[in-house]
Amino acid sequence: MAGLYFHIPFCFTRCGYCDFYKTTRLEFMDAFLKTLFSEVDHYKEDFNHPLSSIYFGGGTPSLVKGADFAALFAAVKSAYHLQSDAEITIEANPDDLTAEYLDDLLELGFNRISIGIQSFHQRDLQEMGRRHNAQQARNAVELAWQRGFRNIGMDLIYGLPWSSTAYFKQNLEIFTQLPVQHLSAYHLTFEEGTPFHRLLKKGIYQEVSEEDSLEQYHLLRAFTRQKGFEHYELSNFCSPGFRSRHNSSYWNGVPYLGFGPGAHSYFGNTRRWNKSDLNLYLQGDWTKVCEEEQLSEADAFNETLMLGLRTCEGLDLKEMRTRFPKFYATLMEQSSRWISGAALVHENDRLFCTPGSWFVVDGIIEDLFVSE
Amino acid sequence: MKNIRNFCIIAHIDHGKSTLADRLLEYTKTVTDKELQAQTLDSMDLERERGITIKSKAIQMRYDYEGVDYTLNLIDTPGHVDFAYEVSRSIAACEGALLIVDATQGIQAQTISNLYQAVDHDLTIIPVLNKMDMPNAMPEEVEDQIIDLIGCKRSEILHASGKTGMGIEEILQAIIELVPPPVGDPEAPLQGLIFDSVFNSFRGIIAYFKIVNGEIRKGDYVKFFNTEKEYYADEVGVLGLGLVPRDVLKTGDVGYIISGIKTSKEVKVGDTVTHVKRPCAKAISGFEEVKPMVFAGVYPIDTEDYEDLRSAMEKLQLNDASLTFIPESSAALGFGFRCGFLGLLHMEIVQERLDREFNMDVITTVPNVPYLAYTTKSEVVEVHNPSGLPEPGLIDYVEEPYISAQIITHSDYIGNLMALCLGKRGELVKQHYLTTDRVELVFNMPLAEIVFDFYDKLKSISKGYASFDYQTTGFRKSKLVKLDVLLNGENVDALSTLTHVDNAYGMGKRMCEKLKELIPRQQFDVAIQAAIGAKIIARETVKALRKDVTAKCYGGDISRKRKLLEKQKKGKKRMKQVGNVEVPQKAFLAVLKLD
Repeated sequence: MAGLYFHIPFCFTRCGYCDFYKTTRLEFMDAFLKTLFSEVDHYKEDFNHPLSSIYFGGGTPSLVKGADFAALFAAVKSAYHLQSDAEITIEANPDDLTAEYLDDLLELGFNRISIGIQSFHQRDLQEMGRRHNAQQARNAVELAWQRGFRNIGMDLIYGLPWSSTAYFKQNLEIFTQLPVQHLSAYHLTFEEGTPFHRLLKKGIYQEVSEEDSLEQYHLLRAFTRQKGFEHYELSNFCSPGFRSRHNSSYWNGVPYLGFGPGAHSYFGNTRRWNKSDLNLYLQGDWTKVCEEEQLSEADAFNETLMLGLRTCEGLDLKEMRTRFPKFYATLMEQSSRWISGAALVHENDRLFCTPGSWFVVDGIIEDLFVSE
Repeated sequence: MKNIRNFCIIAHIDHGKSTLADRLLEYTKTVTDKELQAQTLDSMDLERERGITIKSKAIQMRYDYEGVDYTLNLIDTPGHVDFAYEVSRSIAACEGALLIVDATQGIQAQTISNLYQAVDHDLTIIPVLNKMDMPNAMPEEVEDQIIDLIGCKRSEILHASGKTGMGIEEILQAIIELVPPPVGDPEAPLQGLIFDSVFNSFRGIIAYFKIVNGEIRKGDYVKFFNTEKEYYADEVGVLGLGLVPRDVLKTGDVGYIISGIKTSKEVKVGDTVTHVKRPCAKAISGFEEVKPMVFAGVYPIDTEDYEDLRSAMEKLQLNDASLTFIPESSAALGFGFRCGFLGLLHMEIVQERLDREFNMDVITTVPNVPYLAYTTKSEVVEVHNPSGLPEPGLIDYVEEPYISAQIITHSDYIGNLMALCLGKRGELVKQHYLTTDRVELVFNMPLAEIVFDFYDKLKSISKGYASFDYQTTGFRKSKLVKLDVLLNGENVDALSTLTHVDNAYGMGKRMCEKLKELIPRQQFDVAIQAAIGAKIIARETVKALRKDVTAKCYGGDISRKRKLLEKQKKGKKRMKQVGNVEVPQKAFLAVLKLD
């Protein structure tokens, strides 16, 4: 198992909350794609795992034309071992999804689409700077279903400064009516460097109260449960069998290779990332683009712990014993107070959060961290 | 001997004692301007910053008066109630005292209690109005107070200014003409009164003493009466700006002795030094073992620093014999020491010296006074620590230390001050008008009541126009309870206090409220309870954190998020884990500042 990630760093407009690397200089698309091909080619010797997933994220991958995808897939197939049943996902903006484009995507081999809806409230979409409207959002999902996508995901944002539980509930009600199999629902985070963060600092935006956040989270859990979804990661829900294979690989320590500026790779205890700089990227000098970090034993332990506790399966203690014999006793000792406090459950040789404790998991993770 | 004058200065803090002393040293050419630091007599940095003299020193001046060469020994006295015993020994070494009163402020409580001691020792009092250069000086009014106190004539009160040098010559004349020379028998066996000692890292302990009878020579074999230790007098001498060695010191002289003593514990203030071969028949009266009156736990913030803390405490004790410490352990704080201090100021000084001189960051727990627990088996247990109190069933009764507290204030504040003292279990003993609007109040009060926030309240109630002093007067029966604090049901030993039963409910309530402010929210509710035995008397809850999570964690977020959480964890290292609750250091002193 392994994954490929392609970061398409172009957007028509910037959204106020987004801190992913992106640019609105669409004129560089062609040059970017050209460099992307050479990057795909460059790493082919180093990465020979069979690919179980490919994921196009951004930015806005739905700005890439079908023909360009076709060429890219050809390059990928010649350089890497793509499994026939691989999950191939594209993140898409609702207003890019015409019937023709959707048909192209299906024909190219995309079998999963993740639609960046965020909200069905016009006010939210405007404040966030999204370029679609509420109607387009619903239409996009229905059209994707009509054209033949059977694994459709959508994104929602909750905890917006002006939101209330009743307000967010309206989004959830629409969600339940739509033919989607996956939902990523993120509480708004004011990331440094974003317009939203500046508005927060200026006092124009206020964070919603913790009580409101928690209420919206509980509502989210209730609606997804009602729809038959499982809550398999802190912010991710799906119909049984529809987990995002690619995103799961981030949480389960599966190796992946990332292409494009700002993309991250992980294999063999190394985290490597391209600098978030399109200019630098376009020069194609990979030794300059790339930075990497070798994970120490404690780093690896801390990451495994952090990612594991955010998933519903939690930590595989057998794996922890084998991989981290040095820290295992500390882990069990430190976690005992969380277990007795009912924030963690120790069952079937696994250690996992209760749904109630997920919302405060950072403090737990931090407490269980080790140092060399 | 007839040309020696030994005198001290009695003054309230800020009444200009040090500046005036500097002028005397300058005028007698004991020091040059260049040598004169801002306040020569206060040689510790800490003292200079606080503007008070913590440890007394002495200095010798020579003055030619009407063709005769006089030796004037100024013995400085500490200006804080914590060091009252040292003051009394300094006074005992003198024949005269300058009573310095700030002409802009009038007599303060501190001045009166020291003045009474001086009068008890038959010292000649020379009253001086200081700060007479100030436009707001009120000489007539302050003179009235002085006349009322010591019964002198108005014309006997000198006017001076340490700032301008006014009156300095008159003061020197008065010392020579009015203060009697020391009396004593030069032929009698040696009898020297130790009134202070300092530690010098090269030479060990330097003891300051006054020869009451006999003489001492360099190389003499001497002993200290109360400690029964014997030494050779490696060096004796007088105190100029530095140490000035002499071959012999005679009756009436004030000087120092260096005899290879390594720690301050071996030299006790008030002890008598005499010859081994020809000892004096008895010690100079008035010796007391100085007993600590405030106890607190001192713990290293980082448990690994325990040994460093021990060595720092040992070094501090070398020049501070009144500091006591014994190892103690706490379930919440680990290993540390139970320290005994003379008072709250002394405690603060020790804490600050640990920080400044040894770079030791410590947690000091809630201080308490010593109690005497009389058990049903007729034993007496001295209790220095809440956990040292015997089980309630084993206690017959408990006694707590009492003080006689003197407060001098403007009559406007009498009502509020009365309410404060009565609320602190005080009993009014005396109310005496010094002038029409200045009142002296005397209360009997439990010492424990002034250990917490008494000074601060006194100051705020009187808008700063009240001065306060006290002497301990012995022990009285008390209804004492141990007040425990529980965090999520777990008793936190470091937060326990001993308190009078009448205060327990109010204190428990306020402690819970204060801790609620100080304990950060955690992943679960934290119940803060105050309890006496099994009975819960107050409760507060620190509500659980509701949201502590970041929504996204994909490929690009992983390293960043891990590092962020690692950094946060480091930041929390300074918290103490009590049961499953994280408690910040400052919570352990919360009860000190309950309002």
